[in-house]
Amino acid sequence: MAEPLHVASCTPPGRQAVLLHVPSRKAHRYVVIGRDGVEHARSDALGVVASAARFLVAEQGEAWVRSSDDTTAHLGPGGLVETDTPSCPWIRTLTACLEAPQ
Amino acid sequence: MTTTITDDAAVESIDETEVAAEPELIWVSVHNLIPHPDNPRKHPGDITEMVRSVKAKGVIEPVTLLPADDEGNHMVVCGFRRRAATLKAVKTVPKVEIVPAVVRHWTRAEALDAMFIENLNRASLTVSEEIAGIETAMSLDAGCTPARLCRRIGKSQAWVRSRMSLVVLPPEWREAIDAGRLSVAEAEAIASAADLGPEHIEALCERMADRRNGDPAGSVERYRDSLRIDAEYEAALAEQREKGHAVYTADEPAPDKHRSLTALFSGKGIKAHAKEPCHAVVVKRPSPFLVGGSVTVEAICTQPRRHSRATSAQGSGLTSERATSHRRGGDDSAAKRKGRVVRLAHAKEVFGRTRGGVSKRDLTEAALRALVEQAGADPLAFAATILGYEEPRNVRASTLLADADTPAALVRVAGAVAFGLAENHMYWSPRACGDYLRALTGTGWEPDEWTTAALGESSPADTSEDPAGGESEPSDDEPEPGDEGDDEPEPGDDEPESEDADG
Repeated sequence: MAEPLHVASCTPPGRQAVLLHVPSRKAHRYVVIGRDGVEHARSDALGVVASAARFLVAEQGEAWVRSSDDTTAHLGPGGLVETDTPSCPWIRTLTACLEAPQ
Repeated sequence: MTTTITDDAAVESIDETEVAAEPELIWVSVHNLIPHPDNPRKHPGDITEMVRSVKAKGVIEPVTLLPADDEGNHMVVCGFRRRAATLKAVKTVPKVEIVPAVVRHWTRAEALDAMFIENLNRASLTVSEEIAGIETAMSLDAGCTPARLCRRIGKSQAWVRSRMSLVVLPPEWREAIDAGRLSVAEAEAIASAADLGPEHIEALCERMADRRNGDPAGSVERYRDSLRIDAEYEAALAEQREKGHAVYTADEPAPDKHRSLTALFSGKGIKAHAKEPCHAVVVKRPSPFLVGGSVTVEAICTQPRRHSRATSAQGSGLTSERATSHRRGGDDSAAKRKGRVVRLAHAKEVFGRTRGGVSKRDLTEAALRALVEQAGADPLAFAATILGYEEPRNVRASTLLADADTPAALVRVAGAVAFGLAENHMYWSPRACGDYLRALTGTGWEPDEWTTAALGESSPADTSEDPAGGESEPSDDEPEPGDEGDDEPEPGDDEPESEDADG
């Protein structure tokens, strides 16, 4: 059986890094991507994607949330958030949300 | 004995159980009932009435339970408050300990759905309980989008989306919604700003809780806009300081005599001025009432006198290219004032003369021309309509004056403009338009109802007054500057009434 491909923390499976990103004033749109590379939820409400991501983490062990500005957060077991852009405001909100007591 | 199970593993074990589909009706001790950990309702609330009822009649409606665990305890799916009331009642009335129950062989997800439907549709849960319930439901199978979840729990997709979006609020602010410090609409608006970071969510919560307003989405929009403007403002300040310019702001205003460079120079001059020591910039924030405005950077000259033609020899080598506008605007305002004083003094002296003053004809012409020149667009359009111009809205004062090439024509034009002014005032102050209305009625016009009422309001005290207006000559005993020694024909003397009649 072939070894599974190593997936970098903050690159969702099946995604390529965006080479050129044009900043815009549009509202963020977030996508929740599972371990299988499938988009499970898409919303402009961070709360919706946080809930969906929590579900995916419970089911698959990890999930990625990618924003329309091409910043990505990786969610691991126990609500651990990893990212290449830790100062990104929405990722800080997501971290605070997932780390808050249920 | 009451046992509490909060371990998720215990809950999961129920999912794995192979169960029969048929529900069973049983009698069970209330001490063998434990609350379901997924139940969105966490507090029974006020159960005083229910305790009284249970003491009197016991539990009448069966509670819904999951099958017993190894220790014989059942988790309550529906009946959280009945269990709490019975536990209280049984302390004084032991016989109510046994309660009727239906045992349903539900999976964890089915049980959660039932608890949701039981509680949500009664609208008796607090918002934070609803949010917690939604979070739990989201962790169960096939429930990861609002579209799927809403079908399961019988709520609208918008409702589910709303509660899900509130997940980003800190727990203490979710409780603030329950306590009424924040409305759901405000909380939703705050949650929409999740991309700004947790500190801004906190700040928005504080702001909304302190000041209630009817437009929370607008408040968040303004807050977001203020952050953008702050960033733009700081960037503009840094950029201008890096360029070595003197920077003025609202807190540190520019000197009083500063002028915008666009008022002094054209393109090349503006560029050249950047090297002058008097060059500076004013960085301004947009109006706080204007959402979407931008920070402006205006180049200014702090010593405009250095560039005037008179002083540039001692000042700057750069002379203002817009000397005319410059002279009109500010630096020579003292000379302007001086000129005005001199002119008014001479006019006063001329008006005081009994002979050799301004002629009656000149005065009349000046008055009539001024009347036409100072009239606004609407009175002019009305006047042009009266005078029969084809496109009255396009007629300007200069057109009317150019057409008034004789004294009689000037009187006619000025009369029409006076009528236009009166017409323009009709709706606001018909009382002031009595002359106009009497002039119209005096020439055979029958006023409509509204005008009749307006005429009544203006109620002429002197009915003998000439209705045509403007035809009566000034009385001889009124002092008329330049009355004597003026043999020229006067506009008012040229039989304007006959001219009017012709027109």
